[in-house]
Amino acid sequence: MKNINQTRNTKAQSGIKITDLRCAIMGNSPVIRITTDAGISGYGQAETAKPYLKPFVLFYKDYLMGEDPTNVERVMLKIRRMGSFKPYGSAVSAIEIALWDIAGKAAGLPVYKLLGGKIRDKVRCYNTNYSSRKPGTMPKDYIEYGANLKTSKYGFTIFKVAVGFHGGMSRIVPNFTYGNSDSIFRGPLTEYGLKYMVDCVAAMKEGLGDGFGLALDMGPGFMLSDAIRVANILEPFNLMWLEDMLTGDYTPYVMADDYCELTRSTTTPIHTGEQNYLRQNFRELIDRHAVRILGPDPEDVGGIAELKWIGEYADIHGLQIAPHGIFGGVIGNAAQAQVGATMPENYIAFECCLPNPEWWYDIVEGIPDPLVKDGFFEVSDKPGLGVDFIVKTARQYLSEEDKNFFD
Amino acid sequence: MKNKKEHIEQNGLQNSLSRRSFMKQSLTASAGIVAAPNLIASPVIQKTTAKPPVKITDLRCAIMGNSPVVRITTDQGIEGFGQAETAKPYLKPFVLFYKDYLIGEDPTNVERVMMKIRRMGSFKPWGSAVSAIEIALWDIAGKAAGIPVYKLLGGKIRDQVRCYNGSVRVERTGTDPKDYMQWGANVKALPQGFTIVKTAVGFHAGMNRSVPNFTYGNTSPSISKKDVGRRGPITEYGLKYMVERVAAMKEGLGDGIGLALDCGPGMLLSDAIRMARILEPYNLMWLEDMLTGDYTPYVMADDYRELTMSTTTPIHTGEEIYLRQNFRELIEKHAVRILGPDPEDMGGIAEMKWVSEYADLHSIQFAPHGTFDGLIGVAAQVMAGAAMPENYIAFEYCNANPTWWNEIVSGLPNPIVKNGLIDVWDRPGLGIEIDKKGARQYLAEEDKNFFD
Repeated sequence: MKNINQTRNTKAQSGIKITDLRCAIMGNSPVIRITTDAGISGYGQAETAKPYLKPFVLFYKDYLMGEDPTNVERVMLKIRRMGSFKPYGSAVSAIEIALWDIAGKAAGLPVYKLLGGKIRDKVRCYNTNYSSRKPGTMPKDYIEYGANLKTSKYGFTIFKVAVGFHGGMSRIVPNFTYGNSDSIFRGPLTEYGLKYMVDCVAAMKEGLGDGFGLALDMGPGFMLSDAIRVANILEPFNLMWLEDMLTGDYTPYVMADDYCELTRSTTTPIHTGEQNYLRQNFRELIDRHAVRILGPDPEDVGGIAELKWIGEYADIHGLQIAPHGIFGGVIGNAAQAQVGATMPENYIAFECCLPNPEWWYDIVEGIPDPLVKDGFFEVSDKPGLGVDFIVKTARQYLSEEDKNFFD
Repeated sequence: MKNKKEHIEQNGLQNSLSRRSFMKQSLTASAGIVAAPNLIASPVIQKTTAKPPVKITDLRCAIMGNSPVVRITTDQGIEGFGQAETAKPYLKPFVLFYKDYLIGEDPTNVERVMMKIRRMGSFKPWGSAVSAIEIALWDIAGKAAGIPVYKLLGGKIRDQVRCYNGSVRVERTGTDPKDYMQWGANVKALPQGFTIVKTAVGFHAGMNRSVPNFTYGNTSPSISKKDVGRRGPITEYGLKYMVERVAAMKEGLGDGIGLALDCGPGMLLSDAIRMARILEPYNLMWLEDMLTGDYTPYVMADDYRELTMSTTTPIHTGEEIYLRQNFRELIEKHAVRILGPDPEDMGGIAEMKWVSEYADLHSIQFAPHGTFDGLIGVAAQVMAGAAMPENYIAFEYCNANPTWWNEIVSGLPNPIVKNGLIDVWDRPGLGIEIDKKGARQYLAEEDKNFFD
């Protein structure tokens, strides 16, 4: 009896301990680093669009110090409740990813083995194109735009394009909405606006052909009846999905009832979820089949294990999953590939982040070359997330206040 | 140094002078309404109408006695104050995050300003900053118009606002039922004459830590064994332990005071149903946050619906919830009988007023949370409480903590609470003044220019 206790003690004492949580803004992207007393560091990243996030990350430091990062869930129980809808789930999510990186490295295993094991060797990703290559703003210009997409060097098989309230069409196109409040985010659509959008989509499909999937990022901002009409009119184009028509981006609520009505009204798959934090905020969407496709972002939903769980939960309700990740960064891509390899067969593809600025390729090792091949992202078998900083070259991109980030 | 100090004092004087003259102007304008027909063509009035809009010049935050205080200044010398929960001293950088959104905006079109920042908030604590800003904007809007905030929220329908006691603590002599009975008797004797008191039991009272075998759960979300999990199945012993003490409290309190219980979060649904049923004979005011609450960034309306349908004991939740959209399911499914949003977390007082009418339309009552709202929060609660419909029960009173808050905030009745009610006052804005000279000593070094 005494011996058994001693053994237990030894094991408990040999646990790794977190010694620090740091955050540096590198090229607009919050990068987090968790250090341990075993010399293992874990990295996570939050969306590039959130350079203001540093104090929000450091807020959690005291909760983490001294904890054993290899019991990821135990650490997460301390901080998970202190997050919320985008952007307030970003820090918790980036920390979760960094913890998995450590747990994988400590076990000498790629993260996908800690998430249940991979069921695919490469993960499909899709490309979101906000490119300025659009030859013009008239619907006919979208034919060439669609044709250009096809020539992408990465061989993407699915493209997502911003249309409607997303990407500024509501501002650029005169008389697009009847709305005249200060807000550019919502308003009733005019018939002209409706037809303009439909013409653009038809033109893009003409340029793109049948060989590629086209998804549209649309809002938020549509009134429910406008969304229903748009989804119905677009049915002949067999789109991959219509994303965030009613909520999305920074809307700190779900509105599952409205999505139920929209989804029931049309054969066009309806998609949402990038701003939602935790499985609880997907419950109604999933239980009620309020959408056909979910798009949580691992860097906002609470991390990759949370994403995996939601992927399975969606699967038992016949919902598909296509994670958001446009601003995920290179660590985000790696995390997406690790979790994507383990997600059930309702998985479509994750939204690939093209490293920006280009110097990310020089400072991180483990990025596939090419980044994406034939539309797929290679899954790393190295311990942890499979990417690591080349500290010597990475240092130059640290600001003065972050200069000790890698020390 | 001397020069700087002089400059500051002079500035302060100028501010208060211009504020006074501005208020005088407003009063003149409102007095003119009576005789309006004769004055329509008056160039004086036209000139007044053409007054340039107020512009926000700064957003500041100071931590005073653990409480984040928000101050919005304008180019016309009018300032507005808001406050976030005392339990959130870490909030300062999160308040300042919104500064760039506010500068140059007209604070008297409150909604227009809120449209810029509302979407950048979320469940507690991430709605606190937006909420405190909203309250400060109403303070400015009221002062600019020369009227109390309740008039901008639709007008008062009561002259006194009921509050309940969730913050004036009475020490218990021990943990036996007799101690709970004595506690009840002592609470009844408080000078404020509260007519409703709320106390914590179960997970909210830490009984899962302090009472052996209270739950079957043995999680510990930390390497520290002291850190006991926040959820778990309750043992029969734990259930009876709670019920006995509730019975004792009721005995001490008698029928004259309503008793509400803050229970969680942490209870599993079936435990919550059983407890609510067993407690039915005690006619409690409500059972609060059994399933969610505090820092649970989600609503779980389905589970609340089952709980509410199972019992005659009113079920209450809402303090962590941000914006009307997140109350939609709770209200439309009649998932609870009473809602308790906190104006300092849900998006502000106009948001709370709106949600209270929405609740009323569905026969759901209203008892706002506010135990850590501070005295500025009390003022905001009174302004909003005076304007809310008849489904309003009471708001959770926050006493001055530390007590020096009583000395630096003026404008509240003295004593604040009489017979469990607070008299509604009629001064412009939130109707309170902060004694800057007296308050300065409570500013940290980094906040020392807060009032300048």
